[in-house]
Amino acid sequence: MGSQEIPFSDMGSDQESTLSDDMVFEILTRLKSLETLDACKLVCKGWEEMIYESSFMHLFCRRSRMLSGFFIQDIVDNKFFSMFAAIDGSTSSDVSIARLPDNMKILASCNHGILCCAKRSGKNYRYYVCKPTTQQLQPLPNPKLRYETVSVAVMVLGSDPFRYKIVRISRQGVKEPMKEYYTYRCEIFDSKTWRWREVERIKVRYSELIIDSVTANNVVYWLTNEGNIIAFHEADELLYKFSLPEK
Amino acid sequence: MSSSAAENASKKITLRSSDGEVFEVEEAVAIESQTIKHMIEDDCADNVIPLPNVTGKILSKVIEYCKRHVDAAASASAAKADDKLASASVTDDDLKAFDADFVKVDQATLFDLILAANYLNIKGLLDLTCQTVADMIKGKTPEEIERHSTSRMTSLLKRKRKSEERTNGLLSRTATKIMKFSVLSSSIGGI
Repeated sequence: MGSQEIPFSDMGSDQESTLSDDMVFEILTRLKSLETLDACKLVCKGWEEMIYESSFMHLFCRRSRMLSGFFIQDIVDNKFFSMFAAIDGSTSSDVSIARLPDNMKILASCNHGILCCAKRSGKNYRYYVCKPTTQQLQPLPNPKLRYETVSVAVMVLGSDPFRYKIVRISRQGVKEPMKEYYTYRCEIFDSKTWRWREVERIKVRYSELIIDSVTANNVVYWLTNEGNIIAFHEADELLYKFSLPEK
Repeated sequence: MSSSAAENASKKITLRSSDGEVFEVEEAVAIESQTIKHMIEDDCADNVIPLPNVTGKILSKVIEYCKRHVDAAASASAAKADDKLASASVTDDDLKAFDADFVKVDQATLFDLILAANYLNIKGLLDLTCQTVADMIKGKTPEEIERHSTSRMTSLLKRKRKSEERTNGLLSRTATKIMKFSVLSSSIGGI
């Protein structure tokens, strides 16, 4: 591979014709992994815009034989109801997304084919991992902590053998007049050990709420309403907190 | 426009590159390029077809590719006619090996081949070269990609931001939750 790399300064072909947008499109739609696509979004604005165009994802999904889209979840007649919308507006002929069981709440999704969901069983929730394309539903041991769930994330660490981790943030205690903080507890479920394990805790002020989350590169990021980020790194299983940069 | 393979094989087409190099090829090889094929059909081609967008160096490589693929297709169909399925698959492996070697060139040449395949409209060559570059990008960090592909691929830097291809900011808080999900069709294994 080393002989193929030409340093920028040496790129002296007499025909300095640049690859057209169409050609870059042809190349990038032939990538096979979402991770590499995410890296390409960061190379320059032009690439980022191109990748976000709907025509791009249509061709990318078709070429990589990937089914990509969004689960939309709502509450209808007091029951959880979810639908899948494919990004290219149709269902691929290779696989189809089966309907989830009634009243199954999706807690977390990811880009590697599985969901973490839960179904009410009396006063408690029963946790499952679900693979919609094969209609598999795997019950999990319930988390150890019975506090109110704040957020759940799932990340796939490997495909052969298939290994995933589920991160659950729960909120301990009731607001007391003398205390200023809630304690947020963090538990991890590892499919390898088949057990939940508590890791760190973090103090979060009453007024601060988690409003959104995203998982990327085996890190879960939670955004709070005060412009802070709480991040969980799978590698060292630690929680980090930092504020967003100034605009 | 029906002519037998034998007739086509004997007819020669002359191609001239941007730097004046002249190549004589069989028509069957030349029409691997849809561009050249249309030129011949529309009778635009006299004796020599000028290709002002392709240098001699690149054109000779393109001709090598087309010739090899035309030969492979011919022997594959001959093998099929004789019911020799085994030899047909050997040709397939040979061709794959040829393709793999064909793209082992420096990056400048590879990009020039992409441009030529696009201009000459040769689908197989375009697929091969674009896939090669895509495979080179795989697994790299953004910095590595930018350094590696240089200005020839990042000319899109100058593009003005198109308005609202995607929404910015948070979605309003409602009971409806939207969650991103993807799965590779090939991953049909169990959880």
